[in-house]
Parts: sequence; C-alpha cells; structure tokens
Amino acid sequence: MSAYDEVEIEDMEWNAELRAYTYPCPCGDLFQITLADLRLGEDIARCPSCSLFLTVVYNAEDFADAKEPQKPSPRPVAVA
Amino acid sequence: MEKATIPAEAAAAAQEKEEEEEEEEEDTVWAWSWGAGTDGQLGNGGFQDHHLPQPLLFPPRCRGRVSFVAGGGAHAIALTSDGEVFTWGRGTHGQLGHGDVENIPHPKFVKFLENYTITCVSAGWNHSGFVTDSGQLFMCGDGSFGQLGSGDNHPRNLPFEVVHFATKHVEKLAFGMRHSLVLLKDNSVYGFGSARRGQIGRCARNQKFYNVPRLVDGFPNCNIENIYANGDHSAALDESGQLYIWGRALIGEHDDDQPRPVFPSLSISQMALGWHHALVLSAGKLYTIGAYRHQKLDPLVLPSAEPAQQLDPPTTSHNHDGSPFHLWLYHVISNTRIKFLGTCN
Repeated sequence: MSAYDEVEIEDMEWNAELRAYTYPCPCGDLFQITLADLRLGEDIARCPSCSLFLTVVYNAEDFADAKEPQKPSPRPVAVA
Repeated sequence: MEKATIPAEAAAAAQEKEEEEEEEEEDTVWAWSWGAGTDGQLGNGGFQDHHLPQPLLFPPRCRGRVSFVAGGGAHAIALTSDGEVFTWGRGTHGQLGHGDVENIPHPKFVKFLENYTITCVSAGWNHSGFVTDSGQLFMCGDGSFGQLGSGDNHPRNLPFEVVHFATKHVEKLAFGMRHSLVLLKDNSVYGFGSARRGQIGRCARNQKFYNVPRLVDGFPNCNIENIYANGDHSAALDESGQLYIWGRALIGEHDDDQPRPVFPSLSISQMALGWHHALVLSAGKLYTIGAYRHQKLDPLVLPSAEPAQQLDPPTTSHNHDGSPFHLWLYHVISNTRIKFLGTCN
C-alpha cells in the first residue's frame, strides 16, 4: 500500500493535546507524527483510526533539535 | 391536533387515517448515512462506523422535508425545504453552531438561525456556512486558516454574519478543507481561507491564507452559475457549461492560482470535486479527472499524463444515464467515504 498523500510539514498543524503534527485524514480523524519521530528522521504520519498514512516532507536538519511549538490554540468564541 | 369541532364519526375516521399516516411516517426514512461514525457524523444516534446505510435520526417534525445535506470532515448540515438547518457530528471547533464544542450523534436544530430562511449550506473540514434568502452569509467553526472570512483566525461556536458581504447578495457556497468560496447574485466569486495551493485565486507570494474575502479573478465575460470546492481544489461552472478549475493540481504537480478553463469542447451540466479527483457530467457522459492511485474510481478511469494546464477531454469516458442523483451518489461514495450525503427527493 502506498502513501495516501504527500504533505509538507508547513501544511500540518501542531496539536498541543496530541503533541503531534497533524493533517486531516479523509476518514475524519487526523494523520499524526510526533516531534520525536521527526527528530529521528521518520517521514510517515499515520492515522490512528484507519489504515491510511501520509509521507511528510520536511528538512531533517530543521528538526534535529526542535522543541515543541508554543502556539496557543484559541478556544471558540461566541459572537452574537 | 385540533379535533373539537369534528363530528364523532368523522373524528374516528380521521383518527384512523392519522394512525395510518403515522405508521407510514414511522416506516418512511428520508435520508441515510454510512461510513466512519466515531464523531457522531452518521447522525444515527451512535458513534460507530457503518458499512451499510443507516437511517438519519431526524426529529419527527422535519421528516420528509430534508432537501439537501452537506458533509464536512466529520460533521454534517441538513437543509429542509422550509429553510431550517440541522447539524450533527464533530463539534470540536464550534462547527455545529450550537454555542458549544460538543460532538452530537443526531441531527440537532440550529436554533440561532430559527428566524432566518436558509437557502444554501456548505461544510468544510471543520467549518460551516449558511446563506439566507436575503443573501446574508453566516459562518461558524474553525477559523485558523481564515476560512470564516471574519478578519481574524479565531473559531466561532455560534453563527455570525460575515460583514464583508453585508451589502452584497450571497447566493451559493462551496467549502474545501481549509478554504471557502462564495458566489454572489451578480455572478462574482469570492474566496478566503488557506491560499497555499492557489485555491482562493492569485495571492501575494508567501501569503499562506487570507481571512478577509477577496475577489477571484479570471472569468472574462462569463456568468458563473455554480461553484465547487473540496480538499485544496476549487472549480466554477458558467452559464454556457464552461468549467474552470484552480487550486491544487488534480493531475501532475503544478498548482494553479487562477481559474483555468478545461474541456472547452464540452458543455458541462454538473461536476463534483473530491480530495484527489473530479467528476464531470456532460451530455449524459461522466468524465473523470485525477489519479487512479487510490483505486476509488471505476477501472475505466485512467489518469492523464498531461499536466493540468493542458487538460483535454479525457480519452476515457464512462457512459452514464445522466441522472444527477446518480452522479451525486457516486460523488458521495467515491469522495467522502466517511459521510453520507444521500438525500432523497
């Protein structure tokens, strides 16, 4: 089985809860790859809910000593 | 039910008839769903996947009136013939519009919109849009890529009116994974959200997204009548049946940030976009664009080796009876996999 898609790391979103970079999977869940995986040069992001996986395109040097991104994820707000 | 003025015999007959109707109503299902269901997106009351169609659990009062269903990443929006809206499935980003971030496994009336008559709805990966009969646009859900058109990147869990269109008349919506397309009554097309693959038209270099609607240029002297979006793809169809496609390349690797006319020799009546392919209906024949790599398509379908900007009518076509319902269903099966979208008219 081949990768469902090839996605650049820039197009993935850091998910602080999962502590992983994520990308939408057509099954409704998220493809995921952890920072530790990236540090090791891993380039496969798997979906925990189905059999699909992605190839992640990134520069290994950028992630050799990378730390977790500190992006606060905004909570939904109601605007009446 | 009011029965006070009905004579006893007639009342009994009416009651009998009513019971028959009720029985019939109970047996009548108007919409089904199947596929992935772990976020409640099947709307059958559960959180399980299903391989076979499940009846959607609509409240009795809206049975038989569902006219359209839009499927997002893991949520769905149903529109009734009276202009009411129901949503269900994943609510983590507020995309259900109920004022919270709960997942809901059955269709729930969107109370916020109860005083509006909704004429068009669309669902992106985690965002939702609703158009009123007076041309207003309401949005809710994930805004992290600017796909709500609000001028910021915050999520909203209740629908809000997009002020950019306050003085304009919105007619149709088409949402992709992280972008939104809007068609106005004057036939102009606007896009906002992720711009990485050219899906909202020509943008400044290195601009990853726009959170304010911008005009999509590139439809010279033609009236756009319909718009389509899915994944990072966008498309529009004009009144003469000319199709335009832009965004992520369906074939090859060259994304296109401006609408490109395709199949100039065909008069196209309908199209549907998937994440990696498109279906086009013209004169009763179904054409496909895109790669065969996921084995989702009919074996007759072959990928074209030509780059997207040189698209010619494909050499293979699939005979089709021309029924839009079938095209719709096909779209549903091949594209969404997770959700349903089979509405019964």
